[in-house]
Amino acid sequence: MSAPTIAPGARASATFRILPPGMYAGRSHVVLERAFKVYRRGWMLIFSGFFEPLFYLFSLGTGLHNLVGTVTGPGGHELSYTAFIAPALLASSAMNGAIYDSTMNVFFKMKYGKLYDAMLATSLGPLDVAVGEIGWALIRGGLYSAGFMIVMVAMGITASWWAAAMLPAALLIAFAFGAVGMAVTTYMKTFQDLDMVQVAVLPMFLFSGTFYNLHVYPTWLRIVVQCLPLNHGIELLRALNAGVLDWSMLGHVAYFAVMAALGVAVTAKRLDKLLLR
Amino acid sequence: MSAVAAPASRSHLWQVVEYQLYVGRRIWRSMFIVGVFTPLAYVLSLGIGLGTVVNNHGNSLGVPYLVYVAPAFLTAAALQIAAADAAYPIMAGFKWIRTFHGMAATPLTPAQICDGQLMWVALRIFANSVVYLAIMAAFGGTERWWVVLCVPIATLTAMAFAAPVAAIAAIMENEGNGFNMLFRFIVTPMFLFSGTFYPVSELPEWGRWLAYISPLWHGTELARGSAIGHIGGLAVLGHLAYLLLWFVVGLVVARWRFGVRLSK
Amino acid sequence: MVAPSSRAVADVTSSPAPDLLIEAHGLTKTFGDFTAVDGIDVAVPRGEAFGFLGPNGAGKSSTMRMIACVAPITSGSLRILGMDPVSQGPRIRARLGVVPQQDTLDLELTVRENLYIYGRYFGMSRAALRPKIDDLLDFAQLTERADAKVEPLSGGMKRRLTIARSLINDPDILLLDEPTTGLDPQARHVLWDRLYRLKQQGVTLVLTTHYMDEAEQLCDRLVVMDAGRIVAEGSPQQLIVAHSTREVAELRFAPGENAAAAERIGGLLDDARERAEVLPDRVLLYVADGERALARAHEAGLSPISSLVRRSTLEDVFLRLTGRSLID
Repeated sequence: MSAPTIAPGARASATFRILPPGMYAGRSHVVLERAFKVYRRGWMLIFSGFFEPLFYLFSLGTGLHNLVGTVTGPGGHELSYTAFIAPALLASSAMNGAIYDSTMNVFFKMKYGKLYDAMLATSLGPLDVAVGEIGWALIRGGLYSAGFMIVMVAMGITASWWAAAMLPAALLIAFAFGAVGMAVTTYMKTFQDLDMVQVAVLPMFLFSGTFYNLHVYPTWLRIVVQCLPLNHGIELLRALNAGVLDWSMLGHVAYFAVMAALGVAVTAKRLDKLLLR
Repeated sequence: MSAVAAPASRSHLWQVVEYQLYVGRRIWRSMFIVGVFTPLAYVLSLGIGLGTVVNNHGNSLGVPYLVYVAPAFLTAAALQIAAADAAYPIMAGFKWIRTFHGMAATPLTPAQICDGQLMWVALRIFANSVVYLAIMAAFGGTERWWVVLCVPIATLTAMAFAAPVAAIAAIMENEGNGFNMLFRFIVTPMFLFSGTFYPVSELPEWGRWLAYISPLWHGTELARGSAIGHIGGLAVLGHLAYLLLWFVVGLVVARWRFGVRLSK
Repeated sequence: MVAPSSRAVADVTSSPAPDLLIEAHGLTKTFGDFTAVDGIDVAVPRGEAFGFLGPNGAGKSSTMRMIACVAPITSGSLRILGMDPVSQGPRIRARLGVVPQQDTLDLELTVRENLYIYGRYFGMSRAALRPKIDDLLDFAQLTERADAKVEPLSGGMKRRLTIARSLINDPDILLLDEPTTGLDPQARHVLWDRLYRLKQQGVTLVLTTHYMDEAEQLCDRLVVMDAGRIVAEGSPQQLIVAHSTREVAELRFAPGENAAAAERIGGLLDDARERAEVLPDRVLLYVADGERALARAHEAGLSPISSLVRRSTLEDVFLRLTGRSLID
């Protein structure tokens, strides 16, 4: 192209020949840059999100300590109740944060702010938007996770160096939930549809084994819960925190990798269909 | 409104309530989620699931864990829903959809608009609490008839918190980010630290004092008292007086701020 | 200044049809059973201010979205800047400026940040953007509001910001969908002034409007659209000459008497080109000499409540072509 106005996207998109034309301009970082600009003013809102899992940890860890006693954790180790719920709360908050960002926030930007219409009128592609938005949710989730882990270390409830791997694991969990959440959001029509997110997330939070081992359930319910993504996240982080590793953990990771890939693919396709028609 | 020149009467309150009922009809699904689905999830997961663990560990509470936590869940749910219902709809009424300004152009006084809005919240909470009680009973979370008092107790507790929230909503001029803070730093911690899941004696000293300040702890003590007994008459009076104090102060400030906002 | 005037000469070698920036043949857009755009032919050369005039629902916005490469065409052919919108959408969009019908400003950012981030969406560097943004703020008369949030700005200011934003990438074509709809008269005039400056600088403008005064102000050439089709094409003046008379006499009679009066007047008109049109509230006489037609009506014993004589406008052209008024 010899036009004096350079299309800066042209170069980048050349490196992404595998994708359908126009899906990706290689500039999702610009979408992130926007998020930083927005939240530079609203940092208190972000900061406040860090506390919710901590409140749960302090309240239930301290208060139920005597009522519950010790709990059998990974590898048959007896854990204090605080040590038992902490990694699970980390997984749950990774889920909650990612879902909130990718449903409520995305829905508003899409339907009311018309933000994505504006983005796609430029040379950005739908995949830039999807990756950028999910990336922002991840950065935010990563900050919360890191903060929570620091508290865990300070409380002395991390059992091994493997606990450090909880950070990337929590990010993977957030990525998977964020991608699927955003994909689901692209199907939503009215504000009331967001209620259905609550219907999916609340039982998952309450029943996936955050607060007790699944053996309290009848077998059929245990199997159902074991199929839910949050349970995989909880199992993964609990094992890492305890430093008790086995091959099933690869299964958990694979589960989230598939979720994330599906979520991103559906999101990009739906944005393309919804906004470019 | 037919009697145009008639002096505003008590019945105008009900017109505000009617309006809310009309709006509410369209959001029945979200009401079901809040009123039935969420209580079910809590009762089953933490009441029965966590209860199994507690009961197996030589439960020292004197009653099954579900019987112990269910009245507290009921009260806490009432307070949380009331807080949300007092916060966002009132903010919307002033700012986003400006219904209150429309109402204020009729013979309604600001205080009546305020009272009507709160009355609507109270009605909803009462209904929610009845449903919650039925769910508790269905899963064996009730042991005696006195437990029905949980419904008025939860409603009072909820309103003791909703009235000040309504006042804040009438004062707040910005986009309502303050409410996010209210929920994250007041409502959620209150749920977690007001003796909902365990006796506050399990908390360290500072935690206990946080509970004593919060209206939710007082409501929870009353509700639990009605469900399992073991509560003295003086304690009942004290808790009631504290809740009424919150409600009355909140209501007075809310009426005043409604007046200020609507006369601008 | 902002606009890419110097570029008008440059881009000749890159595209197969460099002088026609937009070229459409049989362009069609359907949504299910509904045909929004029904096989239109459009060609817009560089530097022209081109307009789509028509009522709501005529297919203007659908046409604009196809030209902006944010909506695929159903059938026909379309080339923008000599490229194919399907395979080269992003490359085309990189060289367009788009002002959508409804502002899509970023309400979470300030005025300046809106311009900055939008430029970043195009991949422009921070250094290149800084001076550009100052120019654009000046152009949009928003320098003083640069650090204000977007939300509280007036409708006219938001619109100017949207236009400024659309110029951030020095577009080859500026697409404006109903640029002044919903604005008060003063804000419209400010906006027209800004757009007129762009036109003077040689920016190719493509706009839709249902205001004939807007089309007359801004367009070198326009097409009149109705129900997805082009019903006439030409400069505003050509269209008026071709499809209307020089003058129009408007007569207002008592309610219910307009039709009867129109019938009587019909017999008084000079030649076949002259005619009477009955609207719900008045009778329009399309004539060469309005004053004379009025005088004749009075001689014939008709006494309208009020009357006036004016020049024909595009509104009259539209009425003539479609039998309907532009703004219902």
